[in-house]
Amino acid sequence: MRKSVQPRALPLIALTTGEPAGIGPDLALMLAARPAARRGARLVLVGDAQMLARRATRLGLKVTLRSCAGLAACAAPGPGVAVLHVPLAHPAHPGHLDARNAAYVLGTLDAALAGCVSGVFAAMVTAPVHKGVINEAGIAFTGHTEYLAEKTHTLRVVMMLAGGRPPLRVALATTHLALKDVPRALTREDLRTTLTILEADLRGKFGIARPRIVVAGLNPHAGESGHMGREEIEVITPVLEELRKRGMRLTGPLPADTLFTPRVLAGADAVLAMYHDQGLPVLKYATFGEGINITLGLPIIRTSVDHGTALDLAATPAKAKTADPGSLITAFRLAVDLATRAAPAKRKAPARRSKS
Amino acid sequence: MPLPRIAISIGDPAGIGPEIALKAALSEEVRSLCIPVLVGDRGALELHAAACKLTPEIINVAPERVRELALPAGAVALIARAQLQPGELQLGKLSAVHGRAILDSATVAINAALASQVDAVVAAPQTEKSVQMAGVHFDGYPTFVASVVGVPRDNALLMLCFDDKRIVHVTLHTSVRKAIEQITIPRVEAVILAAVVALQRLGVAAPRIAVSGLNPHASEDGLFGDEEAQIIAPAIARAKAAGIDVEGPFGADTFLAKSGFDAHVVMLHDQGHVAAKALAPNRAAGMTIGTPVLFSSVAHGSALDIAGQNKAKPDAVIEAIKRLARIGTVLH
Repeated sequence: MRKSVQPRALPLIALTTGEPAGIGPDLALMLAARPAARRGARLVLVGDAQMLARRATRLGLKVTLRSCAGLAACAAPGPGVAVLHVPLAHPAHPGHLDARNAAYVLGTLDAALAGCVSGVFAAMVTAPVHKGVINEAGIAFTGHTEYLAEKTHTLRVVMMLAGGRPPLRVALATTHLALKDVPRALTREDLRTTLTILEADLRGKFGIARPRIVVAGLNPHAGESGHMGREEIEVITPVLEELRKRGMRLTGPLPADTLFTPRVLAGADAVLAMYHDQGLPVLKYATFGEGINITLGLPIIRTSVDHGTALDLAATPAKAKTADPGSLITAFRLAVDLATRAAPAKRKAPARRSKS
Repeated sequence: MPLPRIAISIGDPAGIGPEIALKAALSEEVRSLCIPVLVGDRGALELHAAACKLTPEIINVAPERVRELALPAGAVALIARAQLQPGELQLGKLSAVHGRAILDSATVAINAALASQVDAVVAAPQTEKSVQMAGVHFDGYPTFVASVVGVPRDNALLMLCFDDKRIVHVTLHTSVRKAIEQITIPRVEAVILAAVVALQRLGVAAPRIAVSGLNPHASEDGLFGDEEAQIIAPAIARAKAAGIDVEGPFGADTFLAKSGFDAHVVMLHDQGHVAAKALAPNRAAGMTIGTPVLFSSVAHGSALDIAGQNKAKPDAVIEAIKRLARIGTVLH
């Protein structure tokens, strides 16, 4: 009977519901309550099923949840939206962080990742976590991107943010590290790897045949011929020249403030910024809460919201000042697009027996 | 209360500067807000006026007479400089003569402001290549203003203005490595203070200031970098203790979108410039603050390709004047 329900099985997409004290569960449930927003895929929430059910009631959201103990149950047909149940260690109180639930938060990531790696899930989307409370619990954690890279034994991943129309895609050469460590981290080898991953995923995951990438300099005015720093001359330009010889379509290094103008962006599929605050302010400002984050270079598809846990908004009833699911919905839509594009190889999602 | 006097240096005589300076000086809106005083070569101004078929009476005025000046309808005032010999002005071209004229006009206007003969300066667009051909190293107006005024170059700060945003830079034209070294508690505190002083002169009685972090997400409580805890937060605390309404450090990627602040202080050139140029292409004007002289450039360049063709619009000059015009409400 399983085979007839969904003749051409839609891809399963896992959504980790994030920090339970924050707005992650709220946003996930808002998405679950909007069938139109989750069309083209089967949504699987990953988190504590009881907590999510209670939160839905509190928010006044009409959504049927189906608790699943393992991956096989998620893949099996059934009523409502599947929840891959990961139990909380302690009851969650909206707005109040509890370090005792840090391991739970990471547990939801592990569960979703296991599903992606085994091929049950076609992609994972992540709601915000709170880095501080995870570290407070004694677990070193700098972000989803780094965590998933380590868990999949990926040596190097690239963080890319996207949003707006036409889509502006900004990848980062360095991500969450102190600015004083950025110049040292920016080596030829690392930059070469970053650009190679970015180019490969724009082709492979986004289906852009010959992507055009515009690369920013590190320093103001891209160093102005060495007057304001030498990284452009010593690192960035040589790498671009080398990769151009291999056929990549690269422009730069350009001054960042010249780069992010409509004329330059019109000819680019993606931008590579050298550090976090060079590339993201304009993206976040321009996308008005609809920006999303995608991790390139992973063996799986992972997209994410581009905002934090907004503890003060958590569990606010639907008619009051509520959290905006715009970014999460956009992240989910992108995951559906990418999963569908990647689907031919994986169309038969095997409901393999899983150990978790 | 007398109207403020605003000097408009006419910029590169070979570009659109004189044309848009003149058009702005003749605009009713500008004349209702201030008494505009042009500064530059009379021959260049007359040539541009003729090209635009404008025939205003051009009244020469000495800087020390600007305060008592009454401007008849249809007339413009000019602090006249002899910068160009007959035949030396080549519209649309680069030359050292043009470069010297640009700096001379700006210098005279700044000195007039320093002597309180005018209240503020607006500079019509310069052409940096011509300035370089004149043998002068030009690193943007803030350092130039500092050198004319005679204060340390680091005192002069760039405040980018567009829409209702004003972005003040703690470091500017220096490599990322050196910029980090320049960010100290006294420096950040001084920049906050300079922003407050400038805003008060611009008519904001009790300015609210937001300050960015240096590191991603303002380091998220020390996860990546400690400059927020060691430098920026203590500087903010000192400014607060001095009675300033200031908040931060905020992650630079989200704080420009925060409303309710009169100025946003950023640590690095690109933290401010990228957003400004992306969100307000050709609308972000640079104001120099932190010196006794309030000085504003305009949001675009000298457009050599359309010089002398009566095609240029004075909007950016008018915009800059409007930002400065409330200065009189506090000074007088």
